[in-house]
Amino acid sequence: MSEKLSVFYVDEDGDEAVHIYPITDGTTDPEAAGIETFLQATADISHAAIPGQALTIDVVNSDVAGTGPYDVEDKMVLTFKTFAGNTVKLPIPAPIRTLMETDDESFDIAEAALDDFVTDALLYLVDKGASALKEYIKSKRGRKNRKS
Amino acid sequence: MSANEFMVWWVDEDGQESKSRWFTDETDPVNLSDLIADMQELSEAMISRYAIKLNGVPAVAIPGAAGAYDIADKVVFEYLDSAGNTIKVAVPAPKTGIFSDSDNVDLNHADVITWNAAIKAIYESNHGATLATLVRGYRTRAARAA
Repeated sequence: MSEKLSVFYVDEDGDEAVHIYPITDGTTDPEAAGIETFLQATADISHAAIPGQALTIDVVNSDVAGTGPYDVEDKMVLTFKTFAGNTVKLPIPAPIRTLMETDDESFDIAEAALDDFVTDALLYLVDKGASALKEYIKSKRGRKNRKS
Repeated sequence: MSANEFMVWWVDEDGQESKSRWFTDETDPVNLSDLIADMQELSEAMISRYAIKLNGVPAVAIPGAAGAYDIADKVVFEYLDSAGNTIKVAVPAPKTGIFSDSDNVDLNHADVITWNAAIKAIYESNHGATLATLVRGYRTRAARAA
């Protein structure tokens, strides 16, 4: 079992509750018929409004976490501009060192893995107002504040 | 219309977690899986799970009518799953009409039959088992000040 449907409920006083329903592995689309049918049926037996839903998917990942001296608090921060003119920053924790430029501060967009991700980001990610990403601007290293 | 939230959880070699939170208008799981796979290639940390939170009222969800109800009141449906385990599934603020008396659900009510079919179609327990038999439905009430 690896997927869960979280349903957000709110009552007339604005009080909220979240109920989590484990779902079959094949039910990976939050807008799929099975989930929509379930939400409709739930709305028919409950007074509460359903203002949102979330689908959580466990990633079946054959990779193992690296063993080098890294920390998820160290990040690669990719900056994009949207069609609406907003700036969007995408943080990727524990970036692979070979993706970095020799200055150890920025990342090499010519690296195939980074180029692939930027292409995907331009296709699928947006800003909070749903304006699509227009172009990649820059990358920068973000470090965790550490005690000396 | 605002975008859907897109959250990714990472875990490092020490088991520490970090969450990235972005936005997307994409809900196709195949495309999002591609995005996740390409993202994984950038990091030493492992992506353990991701979530899409749809923003706004789903087209199929109907806000409940105003009335004397509380979200802490629930109807609990009790099932036996296909592995023989008892599984309880709850829905808050149940409508009075689905009950046969003050505390028990009318399992023959049309909306209950529809809901039962809908949850059975998508539910799979942590044991990898499906919901097999609806045993009963009952009301739980929130504790209220006298």
